[in-house]
Amino acid sequence: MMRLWVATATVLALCQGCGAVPGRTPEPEAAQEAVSRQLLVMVREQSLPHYRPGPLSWPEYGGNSGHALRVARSLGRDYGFELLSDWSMPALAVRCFLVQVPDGESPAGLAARLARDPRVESAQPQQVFRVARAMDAPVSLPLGTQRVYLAALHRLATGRDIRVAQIDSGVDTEHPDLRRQLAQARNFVDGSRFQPEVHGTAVAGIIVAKPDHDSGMTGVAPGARLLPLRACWEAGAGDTAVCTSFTLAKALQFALNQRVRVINLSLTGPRDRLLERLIERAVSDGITVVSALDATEPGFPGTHPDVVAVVADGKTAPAGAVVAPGLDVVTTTPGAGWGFFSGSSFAAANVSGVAALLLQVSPGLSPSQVRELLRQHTQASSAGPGLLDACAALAEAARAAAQSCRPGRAAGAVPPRASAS
Amino acid sequence: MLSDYRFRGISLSDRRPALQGWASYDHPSGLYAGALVSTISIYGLDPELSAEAYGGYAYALSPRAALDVTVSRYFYPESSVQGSYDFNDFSFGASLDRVNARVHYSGDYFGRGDQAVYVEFNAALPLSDRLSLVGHFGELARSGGTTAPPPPRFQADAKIGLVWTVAGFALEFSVVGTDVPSNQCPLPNQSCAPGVVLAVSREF
Repeated sequence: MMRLWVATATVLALCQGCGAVPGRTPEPEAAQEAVSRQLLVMVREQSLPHYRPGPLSWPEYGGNSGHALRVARSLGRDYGFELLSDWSMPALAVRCFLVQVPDGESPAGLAARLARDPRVESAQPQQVFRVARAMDAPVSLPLGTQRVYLAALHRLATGRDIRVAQIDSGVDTEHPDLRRQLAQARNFVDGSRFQPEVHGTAVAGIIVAKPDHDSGMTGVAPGARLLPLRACWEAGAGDTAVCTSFTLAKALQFALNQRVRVINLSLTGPRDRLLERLIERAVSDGITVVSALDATEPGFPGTHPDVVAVVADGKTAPAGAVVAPGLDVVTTTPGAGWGFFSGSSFAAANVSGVAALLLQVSPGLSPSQVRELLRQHTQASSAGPGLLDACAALAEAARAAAQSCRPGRAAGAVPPRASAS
Repeated sequence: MLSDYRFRGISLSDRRPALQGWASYDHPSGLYAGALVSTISIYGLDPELSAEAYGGYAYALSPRAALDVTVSRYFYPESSVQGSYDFNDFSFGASLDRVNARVHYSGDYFGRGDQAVYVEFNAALPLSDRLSLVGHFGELARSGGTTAPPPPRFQADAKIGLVWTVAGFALEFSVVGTDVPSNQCPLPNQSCAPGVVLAVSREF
């Protein structure tokens, strides 16, 4: 069986403009400080979408924010907090309010008091998440450098028309290897616009890059359509980026409405109940959620049982984790460049790409079936101990799809694995 | 507050500003009710009041999709010559995210004895956290009735606009039009001609 290195891609051009774009403040510590006195307060959206006359027929039809807003204002008066922002979360039938805890009040204490208020659906602290380390070094690769075996995979599938949401920092939407690969880009970070950033651009390239004419690189699923959702922002010199519970929740809610089949979360942070609920909702809607898992970080959302947790090769992998290449992965950088990157973020991007390939050949696969395929072909891979054999996983998904055509078989059912091929 | 009150594409305010107030109540069971009161002005007369009272039931198929049925009663100032314009409207709608389709039926459209079916499609495309592009298309078909000269059997209306929500206010800028020729428009003063509508609303 072919040994697979899905991590690296074919690079057919010299690296140009590998420098990082300017970073944004606040720094991770400043972001942590800023959000440490913020809470997320969820209030039920009382009304279902229905007919409403009025001066603004749309978009009012789609939901009545007035009730939840009135409740939130009333809570603000009663508890002395300030409303900072809000976002409808129809997947959970709530409106999420970001609030500033008043001076002298303990955020944890206020969250506990609010959670007991019958007007409140739930309340929790706002938390900070980080993407894994980004660039190792910019590269200047010799022309024709080819380190991958993607061509064999792409004879079976390219992820054609599978929609993948990437919740990350910004992506360089003008990068020649990416600009034709993107569906819609959205920004969920208040106070800044969608902009090209290092981590997001690198992860995007691994998933969907496609060479521009004779130069460029090929990602794992060049036929897929990527939705870059900017929920994280670069902090400092661009070697990391941070996100919050609120920005991630907004992006997840958006992805839920976009008919995506895969959500890539190359980030990590503390366990977060709101994000857990949205992830569970995504999985129940048939969306495969892939996340980086780094033993040195708190681990969420990779620790969630519904999530495909991905560890970079060479790192200690907990039971059930998928191991994929994440060391010296070459991919796109802002400014039409390429660079080497290491970390579980990039291993997760590889696996999201593989998930898109699996879903192309066997569209009926459920998220749990995709997860099990990836796990099986990590745990007993002929590619070596604990490294994802994507080609074997893809072959098995193709067999499952072929067998589902036989009378009496449910579409998308994955037959028991006969052996580790 | 609106710069022009359009009902199915036709100005009921003589292309002049109108004031509206509305109230709504939603029960967690899905039952809902409400009323809209608006100034209207036709035939160049002083503004008068019209109202719509409605009630219905909404049912969630999923967090993204819902169905609803509505019964509305429209009240208009009575004409000493034409009599009452009041009528009932029964409608059924289906929504998915920010797109919906709705079918209305009235057996006595504007009190003229017409049977009318109105089909509308609406959509909102969020452009940012606060800004949405909104669109609407509707087609009205009617038969029978006592209106003379008879209005067109079919008429279409459309709207495209932007809605900006900020600080509890919603502002809409839209362009509205119909395909009804001026000489067949039921109201004078170019009430069926395309127009720009500005609206400001505040929810309490």
